[in-house]
Amino acid sequence: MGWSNTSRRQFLQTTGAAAATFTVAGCLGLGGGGGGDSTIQYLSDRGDSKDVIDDIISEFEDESDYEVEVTYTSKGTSTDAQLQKMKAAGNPPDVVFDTSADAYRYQRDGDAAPVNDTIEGSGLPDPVNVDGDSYFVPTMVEPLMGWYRNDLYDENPTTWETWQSEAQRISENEGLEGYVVQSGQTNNADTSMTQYLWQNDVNIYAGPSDDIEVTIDQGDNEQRAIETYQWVDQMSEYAPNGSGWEWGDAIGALQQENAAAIMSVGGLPVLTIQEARPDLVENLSPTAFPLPDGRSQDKWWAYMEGHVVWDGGDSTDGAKEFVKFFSESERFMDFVLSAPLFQFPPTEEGLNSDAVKDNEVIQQHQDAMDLVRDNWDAFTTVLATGDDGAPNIVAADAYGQQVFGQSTDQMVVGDLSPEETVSWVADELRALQE
Amino acid sequence: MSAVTSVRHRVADMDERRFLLLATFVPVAGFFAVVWLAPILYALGMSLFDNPTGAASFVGVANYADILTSVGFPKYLWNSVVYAVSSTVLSLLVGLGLALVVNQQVRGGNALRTLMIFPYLLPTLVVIFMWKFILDPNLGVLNQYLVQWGVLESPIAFFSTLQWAMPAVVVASVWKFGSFAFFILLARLQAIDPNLYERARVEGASTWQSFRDITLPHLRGAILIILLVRGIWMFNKFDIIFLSTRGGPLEATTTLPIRVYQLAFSEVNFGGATALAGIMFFLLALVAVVYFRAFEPEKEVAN
Amino acid sequence: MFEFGEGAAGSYVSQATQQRVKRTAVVLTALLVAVFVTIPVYVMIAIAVQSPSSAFAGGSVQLFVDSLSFENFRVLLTETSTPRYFFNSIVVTASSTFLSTVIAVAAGYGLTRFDFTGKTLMARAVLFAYMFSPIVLAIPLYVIFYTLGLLNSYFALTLALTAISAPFTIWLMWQYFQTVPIALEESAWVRGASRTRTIWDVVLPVARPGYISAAIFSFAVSWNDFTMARVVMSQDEMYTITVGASLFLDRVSIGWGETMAASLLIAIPPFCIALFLQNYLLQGFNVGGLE
Repeated sequence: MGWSNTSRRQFLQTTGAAAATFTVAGCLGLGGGGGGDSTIQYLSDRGDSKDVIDDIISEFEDESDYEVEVTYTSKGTSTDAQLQKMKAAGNPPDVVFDTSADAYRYQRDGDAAPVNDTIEGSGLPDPVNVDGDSYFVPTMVEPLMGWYRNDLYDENPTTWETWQSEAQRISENEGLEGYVVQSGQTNNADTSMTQYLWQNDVNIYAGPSDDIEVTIDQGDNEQRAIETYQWVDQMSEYAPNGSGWEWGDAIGALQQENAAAIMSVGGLPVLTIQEARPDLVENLSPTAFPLPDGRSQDKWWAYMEGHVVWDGGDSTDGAKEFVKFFSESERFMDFVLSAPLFQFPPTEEGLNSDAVKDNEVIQQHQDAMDLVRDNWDAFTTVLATGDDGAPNIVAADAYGQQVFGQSTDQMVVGDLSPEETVSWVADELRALQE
Repeated sequence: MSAVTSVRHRVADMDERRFLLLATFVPVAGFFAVVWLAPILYALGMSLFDNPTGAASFVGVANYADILTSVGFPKYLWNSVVYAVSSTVLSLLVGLGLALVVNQQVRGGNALRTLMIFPYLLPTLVVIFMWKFILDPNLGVLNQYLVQWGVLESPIAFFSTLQWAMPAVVVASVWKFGSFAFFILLARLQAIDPNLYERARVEGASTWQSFRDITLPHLRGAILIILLVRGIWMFNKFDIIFLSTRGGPLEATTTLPIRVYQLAFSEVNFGGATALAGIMFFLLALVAVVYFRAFEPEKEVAN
Repeated sequence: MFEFGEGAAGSYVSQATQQRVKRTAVVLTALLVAVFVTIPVYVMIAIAVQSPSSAFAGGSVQLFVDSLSFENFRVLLTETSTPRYFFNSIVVTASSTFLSTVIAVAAGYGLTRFDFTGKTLMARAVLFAYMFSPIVLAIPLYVIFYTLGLLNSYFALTLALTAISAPFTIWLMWQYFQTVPIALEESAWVRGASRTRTIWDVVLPVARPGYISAAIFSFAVSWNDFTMARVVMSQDEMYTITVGASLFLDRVSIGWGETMAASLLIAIPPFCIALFLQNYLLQGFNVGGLE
């Protein structure tokens, strides 16, 4: 990466020299907020991939009349905060990097522009399709994944029953907890709880996009949901207090050997632990979420992230061009693989490409890669939980407020019974519909 | 001194005074209008609308009514009061104690002063990282040693347990903000004429008596203002709580500012968020008015 | 020498005892603080200067540094824009601290030495600004700065930060000047010095402990600031270190080692300030310019 160091040095020299000038300019009030007709304002939380993004942008600027100005935000709600500010000032961004669920929210609010040109014939998934128009260009998927200690668990426990007895054995005999149950208003807690419910075939919602119904406490679903919460409640006996734990906290428990298994996202745990505990990495194996006996793995939470073009910005056409250029760029795979094993390409074709096969980190963790390949067809987002995978606004809002994570907290910390928890969560979901 | 020169003197004096006043207050007023007054009015305006940053529609005080009648409001208010009062009072006591100690010119006092101001100058982000490495059940060294020495059987997740979360947040807050009271009180202590103490000592006053009759009256104004301002800031404190507990577990540390954040950015209800901020503002203003009436914190009782 | 008032009998002995008790209490408190303040700082340093694999070896946090490693710092300095963010922070913190302190001294002096109607009311009203939860102010502020065309400038951020610290620093100086006897100035006037001259030669030296605490406060506000920087700066090369750090800290490839190294870097200017100021902090009443 010699080139990138050089350019950074040059950049620093230039900016350093310009700093004094800048101060003077600033004092004269020449700052100014950008945003002319030919400037595309791009909002992204992928600071990880800044180098690649900058390259794609400069290629794009060479070929078109537009300039792209990026504002990086940190992950979590800060994209939302930045968006609201820009919206209120009448200076909305032209392109936003976000999840498919957020894209659907923007579409509902009338803020998203169709990107049919990019989607049609590209083989890309089309998760936010409303009345035949596509509003989201996926660039990557990030599937949930569990990791367990293969030196403590004899083999992958796979089923609810085995997980429970094995976690109990480890908690009692090995000097660390067998499992982690995250709860509270965190993404980690919320995704895990949703996935546990899916594992027991609970249909949380039903109906088409314009008529979503909450069904978690109806018919057979109720019993299955109660069973799920019961199982989670029992697992929490063999787990440290994980209230308020985000991804990093659970990984910390695995790294510091306070727990022998966690549910997380992709290869995030090994990527993190690699640095601090290289000796531990060979003792970690990936796994699907625990599954009740007799059920099959047919729904697997995979975040889908990509581009939304904002409607009503100054450069909507340029933004559409940019989004298309981005997805077709030669450096697209470098963008996805800047966090390998955590981010995966959005298509099966991309998954089987040489870029993925040749990636060093992925080669070291073939078992995780196999899980992704074998379950590719089960990957879905929380957004696609209406009938036949139709986008579901209630689920998107519930995720935004981490209602399922809160439900686990109600049970594990607040001592609600599994039955009470199911009716609590059903009430909360219905309240979102009002 | 003739009447003429005296008048001329007064005129020159007046001009200098007017110049000083203008030089000071005009820029201050300008900043103040741009950075505080206008945004606050703007926010209060938004609190009267539904979806104020998008397709806004005027709803009057409906947002206020919704917030005041919502189920969690009394609990969040109570949490805020508990947090604000305990962290303010503890910070003041810690700061006062230390200022008195350092003012004694003990050996190593210099090093102590450096140490004491330091936490206050650190960004909250850094403070939280530090405390995570003390209190966290996985990374925290406190838990690590307590378990190693056999005091605990398994680590305590201080930020995740109902009874520990609030105290843990308060401790981290006092660590950072104790020094605020410290350096302000220290400056005031140094403004006290040492001859006063000498005279008191000669007259046979006990340490406690001279503290009560000399030190405290001199510190009165500073203490009152620290209580007021620190109290306001702690009541509105968001980052230190959010970064350590996110308001959990089970809303045990959900204070009103945390709720404002949830309303604004996870529930995307900006009208509600600004209305809650408005309610907090009016509550604090009410307390402040009473406080100003009762104590007149700007009055000095020096000498 | 002896005054036989209430409780004065044997007070000579009791004063000596009191002194001893006081000494002990003083030393004990000092020790306690030293430990309470030092431990978190020490933990931070210990983790920052070890390679992650030795800091976390064996599943516990190693607080005794066996082998120094600057790997964490190398990552920060070469793979992130930390130096640039750092530079930005220093620029705005320095200018805002200076501005806020100057304003506070001037306004504080004005408030004590000149009478005008509504003075107290105005000073009180200023404090009400702190009562509005700043979380929701980000949006209005952005709108205002955008409309004024002030985004992405050091100037705007300096102003914004000064406006946060100034209401309190003004109060601080107002109060402080009340303890400075006006007799000092009067004797200077008698000797024929102008008002401005008097302020420079007499008032400022006496006010030093006061304006140093005002400066400390405004430094803390600016260095800690996140919200304002997030509002005013939208370009990567204009971010301050707190915003910049929040961006790279949630990267997949950044672990606790780099996080603590970043924290340590952020802690260096505060430490220097504290160290630098310790000589000035104890120059009170008797050293500060009384003739």
